[in-house]
This record gives sequence, C-alpha cells and structure tokens, in this order.
Amino acid sequence: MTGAVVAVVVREFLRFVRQRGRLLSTFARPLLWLIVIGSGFEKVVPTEGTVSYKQFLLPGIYGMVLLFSTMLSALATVHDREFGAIRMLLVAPLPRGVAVLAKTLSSALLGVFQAVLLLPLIWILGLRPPLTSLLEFLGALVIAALALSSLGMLLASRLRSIENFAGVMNFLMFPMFFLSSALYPASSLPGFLQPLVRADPLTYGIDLMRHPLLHGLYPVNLGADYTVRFDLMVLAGLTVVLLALACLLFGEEEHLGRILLTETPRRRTRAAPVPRVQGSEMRPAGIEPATSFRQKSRFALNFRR
Amino acid sequence: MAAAPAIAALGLGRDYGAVRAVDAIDLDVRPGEFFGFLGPNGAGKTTTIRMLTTLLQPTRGSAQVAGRDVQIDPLGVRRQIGVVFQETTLDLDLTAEENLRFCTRLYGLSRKESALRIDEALRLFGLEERRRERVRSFSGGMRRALDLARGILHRPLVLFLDEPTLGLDPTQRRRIWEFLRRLCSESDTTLFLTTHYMEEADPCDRVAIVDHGRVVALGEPATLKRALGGESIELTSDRTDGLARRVRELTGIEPHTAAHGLSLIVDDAASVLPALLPLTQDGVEVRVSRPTLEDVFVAVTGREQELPAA
Repeated sequence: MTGAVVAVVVREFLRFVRQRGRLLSTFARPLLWLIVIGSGFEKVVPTEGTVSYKQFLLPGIYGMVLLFSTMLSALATVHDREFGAIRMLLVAPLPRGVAVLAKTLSSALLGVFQAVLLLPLIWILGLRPPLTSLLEFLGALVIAALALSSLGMLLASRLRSIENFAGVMNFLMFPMFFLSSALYPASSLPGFLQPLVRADPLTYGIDLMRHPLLHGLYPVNLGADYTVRFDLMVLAGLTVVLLALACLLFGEEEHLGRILLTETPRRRTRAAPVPRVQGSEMRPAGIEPATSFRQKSRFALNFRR
Repeated sequence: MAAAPAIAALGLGRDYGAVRAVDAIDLDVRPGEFFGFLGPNGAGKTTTIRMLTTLLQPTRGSAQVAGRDVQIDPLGVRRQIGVVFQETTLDLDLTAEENLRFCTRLYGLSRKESALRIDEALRLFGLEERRRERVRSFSGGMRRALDLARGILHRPLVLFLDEPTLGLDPTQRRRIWEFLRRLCSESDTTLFLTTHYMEEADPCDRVAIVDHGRVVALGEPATLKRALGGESIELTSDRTDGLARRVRELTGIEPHTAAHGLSLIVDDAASVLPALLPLTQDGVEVRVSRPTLEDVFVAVTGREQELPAA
C-alpha cells in the first residue's frame, strides 16, 4: 500500500521535471504577479505599518502557486483516467481509496515542492523570519496544499472529461484567487462578498502562511485576518471532508466504469474514433491512431493552460 | 488436483441502460491456456474483459477468475491478474525502465526483486537497449511490447489482453504474436486475448467466437476449421450479381459472401472444381485454400444451423 503511494508520488515528480513548460510556468506566473501587480499596487496602497505591499502579497503568491499546481494535478488526473496510468491503479490489488489518497498526496507534495523552489523570494523581499517561523511556514504550505488538492480530487472524481474541467477551472480558480486574502486583506472586501471569502479555502491557507512570514513586523492595514488556530481548524476540517467525499465518489465503481468505458452510449454517438481505429490496418507504418488521439488531447490540455 | 478453471463465467452479461452490450457469456478457460476471444467490433469483447478484470459490475450472471469471484472478492482477483488495455497506459515522458518500475512499486515488489524482473521483462521483449529512453521516442510496436512487459511484471496467473495488436502494422503485429507465443510456452500464465483480426488467432489453444454478446462457437482453431469442411473455394470477380445463383446451379452448393466475392466450403475441392470451370471464362478468379477462422466466423454467424457443436 505504501508502495503504491510511493509509486504515484515518484511518477508525478518525474513527469513534472520532464515537462519543461510546467517547470517554467512555475516560476513565470508568480514572478509576473509579484513584480507587476506588486509594484503597481505598492504605489496605490498606503502603507501604515512596517509591512510593504510586496511583503504582504508574498503569501498570496505562494497560495497562487499551490492553487494552480493542485488544480493542474487534478486536471491531469481526469486526463489520466481517460488515457493513462490510473487504469493501472484500478486493476492493481489496492482498495479504491488508496488510489485517491496517493493522488491527493502527490498533488499536494508537488505543489509544496514548487512553492519551495520559490522560497528565496522571502529573503529577496527583505523578510528575515527566524527558523521556527520558517518551519511554521512550511507546515502551513503542506496543510494548505492538502486542502486544495483534496478539493481538486473531489472535482476530478465528478468530471468526465478534460473539456468539462477547463470550464470549471475558469469559473473556479480565478474567483478563488480573487476572493481569497491574496491581494488584499479579506476584511477589505464588501459585506456581500464575505460569505464567498469565507467559503474559499485559499483564504485560510494564505492567512495561515501570512502569520509566520510577517513574524516580527508590525502590520497595521496589511496583516493576517484570522487566528492561526482558526485557520488550522478550518483547513484540517475541509481536508477531511473533501477527501472522504472524493474517496467515496472515486470508489463508486459504477461511476468509474462509466468513465472508463470507451463504448458508453455517449461515446458511441461520437463515431469518429471508431472508424479511425478500424482503418488502422490499412495505414502506413508509424501512424498509430491511438497515439495521435492521445497527442491531440495533450495539445488541448496545453492549449487550455 | 483437478485444476480449477483460470476463468469461469456463467451467463455473464452487462447492459448500458437499454443497450445490451453483453448478453450472456459462458466461459471455461483452463490454467495455462492461450485463449482467444474473437469477434467483430461491438460484439462485447471489451465489456467482457472489463467485467472479468473487476472494472465493471456485471448486470447478470457470475464469473470467477483464478478461483475468485469478481463481485465478491475483486481485490483477490486483481491480485492474480495482469491487464494490457486496448489503449496504452504508458507515461510518454518516462523512460521504459521508469514505466516498469511504477508497476513493480504498485505491486509492492522489493527493490531487488523489481530490478530482476525489469531486466527479465526488457530482455524478453527485446527492449534492453532502449531501457533509458523515453517512451515518446518508441514506435507503436515497441510501446505495445512495453505494455505487455508491464502486464507480466508481477507474474499474474491470468493475463488479459484487449486487442493487443490494434493499430499496429503487420510486421509489428507478427512480433507481438511471437512474444505472446513465447510468453505462453515459457511460463504457465493463462493468456486471455481479444481480437477482431480472426486470421491472427491460429496460435491460440482454443478460441471462442462471440457475436451479439454471446459465444457462438468454441474450440481449437483446427477443430473449428475442420468441422467446417475440408477446403474452401474462393471466387473473386468484379461482377458478383447473379454469381451466387450460377454457382448454386453449377454445383448445388450454397455459397456465402466473402470479402471480394463468394466462398464455398467443400469436403474435397477437386470434385467440385470442374463444375466451376465455366465461370473462369467470365473472368471469375478461383482459388482453393484451407478454411480460415474467418470462414468459421462467417459460417457460425451467417448460417447458425450448420454450426458445429463445440
């Protein structure tokens, strides 16, 4: 069982480092936000304490890294279920829950890994957290990543195809980012948005990271919103509930069966892939329908990113 | 010990809503057997494999794989089986070796055991030299071979293969069949394979021919072909209209439609050929061959009353 978890984690990491584009976007997106948005807002937002706007923004940037990483992992899970290695997990002698746990854990660890690559930003922005705060920050990263990857896995368990997922990403990821406390203190959003702010796991994840990173500074208008204890409780509770739901829904074999079926009535009406495969014997060597289909979907995936 | 069947199914069936994908399949595959599950596209082969590999719940009937019931003990079944899916499940960005190691980790093999088996599998499928290359650079045939290698790493009692030669060119297909034959003779793994290329299934110990979700013929390829008759006469012509009627008049035998014309199943071609000679004047090409599994399929699905008892 641990073997399976290790297998999945190793696979995800190998895939991550082999895909240059992903590695590049890990650095590009957060730096862009930090430099452009950070510099722009710094001029507009009055600083009353000893915390600069960029320093305030930094935990939000880490939150963004986690959000994008875990949601992309969830997207990869949907892709995997249609085309790839998840099928290996499903015919291996493992309870269904283990497959979900392994996926969640690897997605969370991958997110933390990407955030860790960006750790030098802390010192670049002039923050000097003591070692204990730094460890607390790492813990906060892990906890926030687990909550977000559980959410991603729950989504992945219900979504049939990547096309659906892309829509959800657009309607979920950016709202989640803007409604969190990433760019401004959560309390600064108007009252009618507060229920959404409070329903956003990213709010608590970023808040939890903000505590140790701003340790020793005196924020007045740019600080954390909730207590560490409250953040922890919400995130832990969320992780447990989301993960349990994801296991339950992923474990429902009939649902999986329906997804796995290339012969479902839904697919049958879409006749295109079938004749292509039938005609394959007449194709010249080197052109494989299955592969080109796969590559095509890969392309769609990259495109939507 | 009277060997328990490797796969036993009784009235196994599956519906998707109102669509009856598999009607009722009966199977009895012996341990160590190379079993072919043949049928046209849409006959229910893949659905049957999915039920036998615990990926799909049967709507009716029951099935045991390696002595364990697929519905009562799916984990027990999965512990004993390997599956090679119709579409590859390899990670293109990982090397051949890394892909195999993912599998040995899944099955909880020790590091040493894992290294041994990966070496062995790569050697068996002739991929030793490319073990550190990414699968993306592999040809379709090599990817398939690696899929097969992955299917047997954990030494399953029963290996399921869903259309293992689909989408490959003839040379690659021949190679995959060579691997399968070798696998079967060198280990006591039971192979259960589906294909719609009937002509390929000759090396199988036994084949079941399925149509509309039912087994319509079962037996050794040679027996099935023999039961059909001694020889098959194929008539190829550009103009097939009225040809069947003329053949009937000339020989008194009912021909059936084949790929490019008609075919006749007879005990002794030599006694019928003279009667067919007039046809050659009209540009009909006449060829004599042994019946193929294709002929068996046409016979059992087209004229079931002549179906040889299995």
